[in-house]
Amino acid sequence: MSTFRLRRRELRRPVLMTVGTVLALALAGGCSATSSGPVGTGGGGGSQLTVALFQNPDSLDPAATGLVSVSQIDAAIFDTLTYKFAGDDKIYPGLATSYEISPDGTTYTLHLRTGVKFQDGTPFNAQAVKANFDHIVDPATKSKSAIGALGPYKETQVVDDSTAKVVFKEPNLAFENEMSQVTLGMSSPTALQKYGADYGNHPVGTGPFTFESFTNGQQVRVTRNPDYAWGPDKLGSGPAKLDAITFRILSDPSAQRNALNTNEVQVAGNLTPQDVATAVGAGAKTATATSSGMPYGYLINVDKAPTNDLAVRQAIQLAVDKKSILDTLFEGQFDPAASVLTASTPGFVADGVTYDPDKAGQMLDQAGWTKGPDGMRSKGGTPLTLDLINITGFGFDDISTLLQAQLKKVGIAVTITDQGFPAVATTYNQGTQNLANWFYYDVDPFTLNTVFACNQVQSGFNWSHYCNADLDAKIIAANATVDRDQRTKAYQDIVTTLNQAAAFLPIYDTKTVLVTKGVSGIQFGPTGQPYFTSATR
Amino acid sequence: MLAYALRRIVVSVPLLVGVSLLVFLILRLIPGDPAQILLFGANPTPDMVAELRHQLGLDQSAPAQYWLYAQRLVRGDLGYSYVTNSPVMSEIAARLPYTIELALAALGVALVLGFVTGILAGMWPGSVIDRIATVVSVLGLAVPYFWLAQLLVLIFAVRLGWLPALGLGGPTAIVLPALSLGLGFAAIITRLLRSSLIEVYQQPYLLVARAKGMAPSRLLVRHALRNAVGSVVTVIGLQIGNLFAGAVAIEIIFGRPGLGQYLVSSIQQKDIPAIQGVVLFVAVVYIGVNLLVDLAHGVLDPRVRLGWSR
Amino acid sequence: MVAVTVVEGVAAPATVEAPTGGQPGRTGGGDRFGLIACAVGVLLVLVLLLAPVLAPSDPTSIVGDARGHPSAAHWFGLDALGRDVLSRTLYGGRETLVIALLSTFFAALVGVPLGMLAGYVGRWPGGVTMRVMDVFLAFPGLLLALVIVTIRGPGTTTVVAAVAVSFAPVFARVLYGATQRVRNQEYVAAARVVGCGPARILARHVFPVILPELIVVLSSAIGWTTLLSATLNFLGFGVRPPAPEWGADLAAGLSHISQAWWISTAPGVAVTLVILLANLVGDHLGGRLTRGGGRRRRPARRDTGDAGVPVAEAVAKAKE
Repeated sequence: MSTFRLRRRELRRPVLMTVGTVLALALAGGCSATSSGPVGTGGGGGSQLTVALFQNPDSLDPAATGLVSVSQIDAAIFDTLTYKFAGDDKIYPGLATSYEISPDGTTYTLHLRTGVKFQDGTPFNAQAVKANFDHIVDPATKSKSAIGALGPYKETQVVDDSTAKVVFKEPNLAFENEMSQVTLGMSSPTALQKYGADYGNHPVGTGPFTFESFTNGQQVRVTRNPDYAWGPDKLGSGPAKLDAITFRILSDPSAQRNALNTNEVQVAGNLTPQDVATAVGAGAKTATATSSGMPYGYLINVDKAPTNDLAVRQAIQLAVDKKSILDTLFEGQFDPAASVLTASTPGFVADGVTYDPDKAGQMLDQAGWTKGPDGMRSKGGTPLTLDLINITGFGFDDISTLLQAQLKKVGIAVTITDQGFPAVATTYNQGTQNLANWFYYDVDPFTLNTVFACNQVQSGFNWSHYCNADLDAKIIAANATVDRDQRTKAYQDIVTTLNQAAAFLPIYDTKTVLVTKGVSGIQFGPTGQPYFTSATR
Repeated sequence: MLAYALRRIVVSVPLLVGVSLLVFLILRLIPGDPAQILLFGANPTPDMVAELRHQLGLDQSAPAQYWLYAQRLVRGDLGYSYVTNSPVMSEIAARLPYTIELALAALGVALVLGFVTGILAGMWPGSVIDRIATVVSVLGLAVPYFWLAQLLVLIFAVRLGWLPALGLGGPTAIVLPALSLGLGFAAIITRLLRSSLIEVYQQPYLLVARAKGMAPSRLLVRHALRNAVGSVVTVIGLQIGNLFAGAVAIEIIFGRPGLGQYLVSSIQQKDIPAIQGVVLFVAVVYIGVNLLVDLAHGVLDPRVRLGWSR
Repeated sequence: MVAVTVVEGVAAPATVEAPTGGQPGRTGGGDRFGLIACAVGVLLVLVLLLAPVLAPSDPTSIVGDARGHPSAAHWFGLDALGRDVLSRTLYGGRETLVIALLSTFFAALVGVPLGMLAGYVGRWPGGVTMRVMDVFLAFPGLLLALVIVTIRGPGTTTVVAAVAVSFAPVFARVLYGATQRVRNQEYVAAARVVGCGPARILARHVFPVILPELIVVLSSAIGWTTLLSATLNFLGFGVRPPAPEWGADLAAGLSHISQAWWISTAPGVAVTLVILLANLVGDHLGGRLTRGGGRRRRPARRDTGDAGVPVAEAVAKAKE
């Protein structure tokens, strides 16, 4: 799992910042595509598409990459064992036509599609699956993200050509969802062998587009794979409609906007919300997909005064007008978040909190935090002041500024400072802050184990310092529950507990928002990355 | 001449050593352990950290590390990027052409505009042309180039649609980036040339030549310009470094995958070998270009190589 | 790009009036320009200093609709969050001004004594000092500043440090050359013979003579440091939000330019204005302080002696 990826969606500075490639991967997504389905207009010849990409790829090897942007490209080149789509919790067959999970949750028996060939002609089979998973855990691969999605991998056993058994050291039901992650896309074992350490520049998959060229810092080009006939029905199952896609690297949102305006790119995903609105007003379309994982928000430190007081944490949640923040900053393009998980994540339960500053005031009064003559609250001489530490350049600055103004209205003072990544992680672990920036993309709620487990307080991502041994055990148990419905119920129970603890201030559920000009049929996968298989221009 | 050239080259050597030392210090001065940064999020065991520190040579003393570093530099090895794991040298090589192209185009803009306006203004000081040139060049020096770049894109690409907004692909793509970067430099040349020409025209020998009826064009080319060009050459040498520096913002705005953009993204990603590599590379190029300018000067002007200090 | 006002010898401003009074009208005009620039500059500094009094509202407070148009209540409009652009420009100018002045001050504090001592002592200690300075000068200013940013992380103090470090060698270079020229003058030799110590000679006999050059460099340095600090802020390495600063606000405003042109206009014009003024004032002072004295040593192209790069080139090189 640990598909933690801090990604600037709303870039305020023109130059910025995707931060530590050391962090793992990808924006994720359930997704509810508003773009039209894979209808398409026959996919005539000569159709080319240029897509703006906000990061230079670190490696095109899905097993190695740690960058969000690469999953867009890799989704075109590679197939995954299973597929998941926008706003749809169903699992669709991919390179695996079916699978069984052992009762103890440690072994997956995969039945593989036959007749599939990699773009270099190598046949896809159980040996290829083994080669791929072994490649991910090979230290030489330096996997940044796939290794987390794979989980506690032990080995792959080749039963026969079309049957592989993937064995884990511990129960790993998260893998059932993670199989659809692009980072677990299947590479040609021949190419892995042939290119070795340079494979990241020569990716070969079974997907709808064949890698053509990577010009460092400039662009990646892929062309249609004419043999492609094994895609999921939802993507049109046959070869792609487009002849070629150029992923043009443009880190600056203003550059993306300008290029879209001049039609130098037709798809851009990093415009400011205002530019999105303007572009739509001028006739462009958007294709969006809600991400699964944890919303953008603030982890509230339950260990440090004054937020060690449950009443204060609940009051903060009540006093924040998410809708106003989203209207001001995002032109209403994002939906308010209402839980520790986004609405499209399995296990989601709404926290039932609605904006109510009066109630927040009453709660604080009852808890002994009374207003002084200046309208700010204190208790026994201690002022009600929160330390908010932003991560430099992560796009939280404006949200924090608005948050500060809103909390001031109910008498809570907020001091905002910021610190760069990764140094800020240490600060967060030490617990200097009351409020820490947070978001997390993942396809499986087992994510919660990374964020709220006791063993993550010291050096992990548990920046709320929430430690509940009982809950830890429940999360581990949920991840060992083979039955999907039961598992989802178990997670709902966990999420309810976490919501009641008020250890997180959710602000909004993120979405991938692609602005498109004259393009239709884009669909979205589990990590919010677009599938261009059925796209037409 | 040879002796002069040798002397200049020898003087550059300690400079290069100093530059490499300074760049090496970047790594030492950055807070935090590079091994920890590299392994962040991977829940590293102490063994993994120790192993990586060993691989990176971080377990050795500072002088030993510098010695290793210097040896690698001499072989042209700038280390491996933390982000892509590929040699920094090849990353630089991939981006260098874009920056060179931009710098040359900007230089072209600067020379053409600077010479035309500078000569016109210098030949007729006080005229309308001169006044316009002066005002424009004073403004040209003052407008921040990164703002100018955005304004040019908005006007010529987005509103008028005459030129592409991206600085890459197609022959016209370089126009806006080159203008953004070159206009300030053109203003410098204008001012420089103007004042040199005004001064040269006051020299007795030119007054004599003029009095003897020498054609104005001949006067300009044979005498006036010849004298003024020297200082322009010097400034060009000094400006090369600034063209590289200016390229940082321009490349980002126009989406050109050059060295400047690479440097900024490397800083954001804490890709220390890449930062060191680019900084060192630019400094070395800068020293090299100025060495060439010095040598060119020596060829053009005998006083220089003979070390006359007037 | 900053002001390379001086190209040949510090004393020759680039918008130099025609020498030897060839065009009398021009000389007067240039002076008038310079005087106006000085006056506007002083006025600007006053306005920025008085920002708390003059600004209609707190620069970080939200006082209206996001991206509100310029109006009677908000002359320069409202920014992306609904903060008053005029107030942010005034306060941002203070930030910019403080960074520019502080970094110039620190650069001079280090560079001036170093350059004077090196120039006075000469021989190998002077030579070694200047070689070290050359190492710093081997990096374009912005690059050196970015290195400092890498080491220290973003922030206002980082920008001050970065700008100061990249400009200190320029001061050293200028003062080194100037001191060398003065050192061998007879009156300095006389002072030495009388038994004056180096500190006294430098302070009493050398410094006053080279002061004009220093002042010219200082004034153009303000323009230069303003641009460099605005550039660093523009790139996102400077002040932390929500603090106002011209470069940062310009960058923020540009991402909303198609909806609200006014957010980026005020800070953009302000940066331009400051650099413009610094250049004009530098030219003016350069013309003034060195008229007479300066003409005698009409410097030629390139100094190749031990003095190395002449002053102006040092300034030129440091410019971004």
